[in-house]
Amino acid sequence: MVIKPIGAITRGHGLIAIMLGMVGWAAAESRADITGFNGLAGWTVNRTDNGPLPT
Amino acid sequence: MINPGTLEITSGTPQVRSVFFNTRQPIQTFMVSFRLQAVSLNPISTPQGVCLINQNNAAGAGAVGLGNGGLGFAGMQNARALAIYAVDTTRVAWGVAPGTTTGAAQLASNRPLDVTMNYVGTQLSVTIDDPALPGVEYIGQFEVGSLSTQLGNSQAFIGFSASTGTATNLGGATFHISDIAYSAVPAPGAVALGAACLIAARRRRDSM
Repeated sequence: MVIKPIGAITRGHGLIAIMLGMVGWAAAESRADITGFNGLAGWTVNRTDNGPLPT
Repeated sequence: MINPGTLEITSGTPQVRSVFFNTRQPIQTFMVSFRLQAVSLNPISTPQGVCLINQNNAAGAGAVGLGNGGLGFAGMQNARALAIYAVDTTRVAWGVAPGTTTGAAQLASNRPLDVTMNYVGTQLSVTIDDPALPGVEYIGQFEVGSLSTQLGNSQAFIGFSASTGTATNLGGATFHISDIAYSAVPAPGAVALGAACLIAARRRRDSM
């Protein structure tokens, strides 16, 4: 199989493009999300009255 | 919790409460949704309701504002909030500004409201759907400016507050919050660049 120079350049560009795409995906994935209360684990509950805390 | 996914933020007697997620979240662009349900609500002249809060208060996740109609948010420094509350009618407000009557989405006992809030750029859009009134929804648009600038950081604590009347003006509403989902929407540029590059790579591969 003969690889033409133009083909090699195209493949290189493709590799770079995929890497850039992965960087973009990683940036999206690194952001935290909140889904549900999960029993209030990870939450701080507060009150200034004398009633019970939020449950 | 009523169940692992439902928070009972107030439970009757006049109360002032807040709940914050312990980890600050990005606030440059985000989408948040939740279901708010008043299990028991007798409208009084003192506002009763719930706030969704973004804050960088000195008390951190322990911040809680004032009652007596303050919804557990009034007086909280370095904070912004979407307030949904009942007085004579249901009102929706951003920050500490006076509310506007929604008309379509009313806080009422055992009537859940599905709230969605999107913040993009300097614009905040709010939709409130009442499952009992299909096809009718409250849509609000607020020009709120840069939250990052106002709160002094690109991240902030996210949570809720509520209050339910006063010692002499008994409201005593019970509010439940469930189905919360907060997503810091990625900057469009990063995803668009990645997607464009992948498409370009695929086209070049296919043409070889």
